[in-house]
Amino acid sequence: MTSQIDSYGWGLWGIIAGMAAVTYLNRASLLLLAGRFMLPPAWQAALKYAPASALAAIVVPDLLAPSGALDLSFGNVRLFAGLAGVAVTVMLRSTLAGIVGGMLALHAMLLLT
Amino acid sequence: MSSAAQGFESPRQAYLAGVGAVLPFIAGTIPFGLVTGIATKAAGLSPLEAAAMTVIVFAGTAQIAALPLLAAGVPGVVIILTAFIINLRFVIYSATAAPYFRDLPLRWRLLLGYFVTDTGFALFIRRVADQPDLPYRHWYFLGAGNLVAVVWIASAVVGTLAGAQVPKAWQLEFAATLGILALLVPFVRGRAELAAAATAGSVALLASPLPMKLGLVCGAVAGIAAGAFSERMLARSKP
Repeated sequence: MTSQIDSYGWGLWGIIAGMAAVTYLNRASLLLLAGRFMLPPAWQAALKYAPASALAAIVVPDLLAPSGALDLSFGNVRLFAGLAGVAVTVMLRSTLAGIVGGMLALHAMLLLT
Repeated sequence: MSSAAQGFESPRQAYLAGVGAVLPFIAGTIPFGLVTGIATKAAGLSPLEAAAMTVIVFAGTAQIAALPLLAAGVPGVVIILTAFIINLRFVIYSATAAPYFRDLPLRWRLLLGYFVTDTGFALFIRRVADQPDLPYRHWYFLGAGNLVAVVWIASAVVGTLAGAQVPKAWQLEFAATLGILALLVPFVRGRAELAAAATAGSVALLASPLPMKLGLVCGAVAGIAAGAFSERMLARSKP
């Protein structure tokens, strides 16, 4: 897979600046309001689920349908490497071990197929 | 803990205590920074772009999540929106910490805003839980945040430089996808979190034909709603 990152041109700097702006806004907004506005408890409860939701929304289509259509065959090596990575993360409780385990699984499968 | 019972006598003492509190967690930050740097290079960013992203965005989860999207040529607006959603957790941190910094001048609050991190926040809240009127607590927060930032930025830059030496055949851009999965695991702690992640993934998959990768945003919003809804249902079903 070749990266399409060059298609952004100078726009890439706009994306980086935009990511930085929304991240700072999230971090600092309520500090700047200095306790004059408290987040409603229902919002706080819902926001807890934002990271898991966004991460799953990125990674599930990427692994299950890498080229747009659902592909659960063994030819979809990245799907199985990803599952191996999750298994290692859960077993060893380590993010790094999960990444290394997933990369090793990917290359093992590429060698075998 | 004996040190937790007494306060700080000077800004310097508070700052160094903040730095010291982060030290045991560095071992976890360094490898993750290295991987992020390597994956950033593999996604095709130049070393300058990668370093700029690490310094001004300064949010590992959002950075690593953006990489597969950038490599796929997803529209910038969707990438920025995704970073916003992933970093919504910082709003909770910011809301929780705000009462402790209410009386600080604006320039201090502007500065501390940049240093709201997962590790720094958790340590700060644990420290002030014992002693809500801890003197010089903003210096403690700054010390913790500064060390997290220095370690994160340095390890990501080293990773970017190392990534330039790695052959393309290693497919290290996949490390970003594996990083997203590995970060997802600790977020899924209970049934409500599982419902959120499963809903987000399914909706994103079903909505993937939508233009501009908007299926991603639909999935994330549906996941948040599913998590909040499940939490209510689970609370109601308890005796």
